[in-house]
Amino acid sequence: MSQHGAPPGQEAPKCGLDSGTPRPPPHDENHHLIRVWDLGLRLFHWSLVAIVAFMIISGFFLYKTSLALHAAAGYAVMALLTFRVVWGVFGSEFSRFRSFLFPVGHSAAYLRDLVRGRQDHHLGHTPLAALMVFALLATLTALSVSGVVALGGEEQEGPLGRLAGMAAGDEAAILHALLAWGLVGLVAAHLMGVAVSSRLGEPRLVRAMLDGLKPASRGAAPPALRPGQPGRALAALLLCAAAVAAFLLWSGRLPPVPAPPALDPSYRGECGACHCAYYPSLLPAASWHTMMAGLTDHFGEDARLDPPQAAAIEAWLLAHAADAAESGSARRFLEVNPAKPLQITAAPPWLERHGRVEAGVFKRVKGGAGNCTACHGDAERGRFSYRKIQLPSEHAQ
Amino acid sequence: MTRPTTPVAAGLAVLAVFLSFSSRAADAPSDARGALLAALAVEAKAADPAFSGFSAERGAAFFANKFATGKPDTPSCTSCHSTDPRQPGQTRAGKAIAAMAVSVTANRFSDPEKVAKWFERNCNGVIGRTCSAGEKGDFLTFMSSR
Repeated sequence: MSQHGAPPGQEAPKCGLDSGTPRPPPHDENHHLIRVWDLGLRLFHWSLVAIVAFMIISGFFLYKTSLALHAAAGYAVMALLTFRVVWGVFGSEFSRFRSFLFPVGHSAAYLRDLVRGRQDHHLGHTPLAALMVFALLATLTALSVSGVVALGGEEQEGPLGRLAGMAAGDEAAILHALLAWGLVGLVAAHLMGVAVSSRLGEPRLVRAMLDGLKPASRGAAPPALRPGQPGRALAALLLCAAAVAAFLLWSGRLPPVPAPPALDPSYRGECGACHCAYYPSLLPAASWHTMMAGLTDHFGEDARLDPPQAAAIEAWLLAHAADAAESGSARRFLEVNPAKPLQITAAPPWLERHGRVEAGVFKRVKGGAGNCTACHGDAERGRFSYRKIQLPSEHAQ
Repeated sequence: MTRPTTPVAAGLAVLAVFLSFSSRAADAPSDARGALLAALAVEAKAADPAFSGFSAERGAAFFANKFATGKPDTPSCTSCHSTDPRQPGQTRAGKAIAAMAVSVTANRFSDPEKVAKWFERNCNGVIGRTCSAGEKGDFLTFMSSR
């Protein structure tokens, strides 16, 4: 552990002990540059930077149009994570997880010093940086898993397209969004950490991630640095690739997830004559019952039906109302606005899902916000997937 | 050169059958409208012995009239059907309504049940009462003339 600096409680000489004292230049007589970050780690780091930047932009700003690209980049993140885990076992010294799994006491001493403005020198990751590495890897793993479950459950696409249920997909999508904010926070903290550490005198912090070189003191006995084992790493990666391929072959043979029940032709014909045929799971049974009892004054119009036909349509609506829905997202639509229990666009779950849509969009839609199919190409199929959302252009009137 | 004549004759025969069917199909809506108007005329005569036939002008005035007796969102036929019967209309919820003019929408008023359903709903909504046979006949006559 000599390369990690002094163990806690031991007053060993530390580099940069006094805050504000500039570090010795890297090429003086007492220091020489050694390869701390190997090529694999550096390629991993910068590839991840590029892809995560794209993921954040596409995830937060272009999610409606670029789901396919976002998913493709997500697979790249998973491939990089797999590499990092393998390289954490078979990589060279400072890439190995074991080289930055610090005892708690050591990390605490490091933190105590850091609070006092001093930084204990570490050739590889500092304890705080190690924490950041593990937090980033864990968050990215959780984002990958939740992303794949959301893509499978909500869109029936990706490796879990035939395995993840709609309910799981909904929950995963919520988790994915929360984790995304967590990732943004971690990236910000990481950049701040690099800035602070550089200010405290950590030499070549950013450059080392480019050329891999950091100054090591000549006086100290050269630590026994384990070399990377690219052959073993490659074998492990091939094994992972084979496992993924086997999984995809198996899951591709599963039957597709059944689509939500199709609209009743009578409901679609009668109700869909005047407005978008709202999917029945968008309202609770009680609302549908009240609505069917008041068709002579239906949102300001007379929409009366033959009693037998109205009864048949009502029976179908009640059987497929939000009460009967399996997915958590659809069950949210059990909640209505008590003042307007028949109006889907007044219900809290509807408002939650459309809060980010500018009011101008609904003004451009013929019939306004109640015209689901104007933007949701799959509204009458009961899906409402992000993929199918197409906002009307500002020029088309 | 006998071989090609058989397919040509067969083609002509198919074409003739198709044309006879399509012309029959084209006639069917106007036949249905005629029957509907005849029934409405009988009803109008029974309600008013002085009834002397439907009028496209009265129908046009009825179509454009702004009633104040129905539901406030739909004071007139033109609220949804556009002021020009040859233009498509639009429901308040944004669905397109095919033009009412028979010259544009050939199968308009050819399904008696559909005609009855929409007269009942829309007369109630727009005027606040059912329409008389005279009003319905004038309306259909106006739309058939456009």
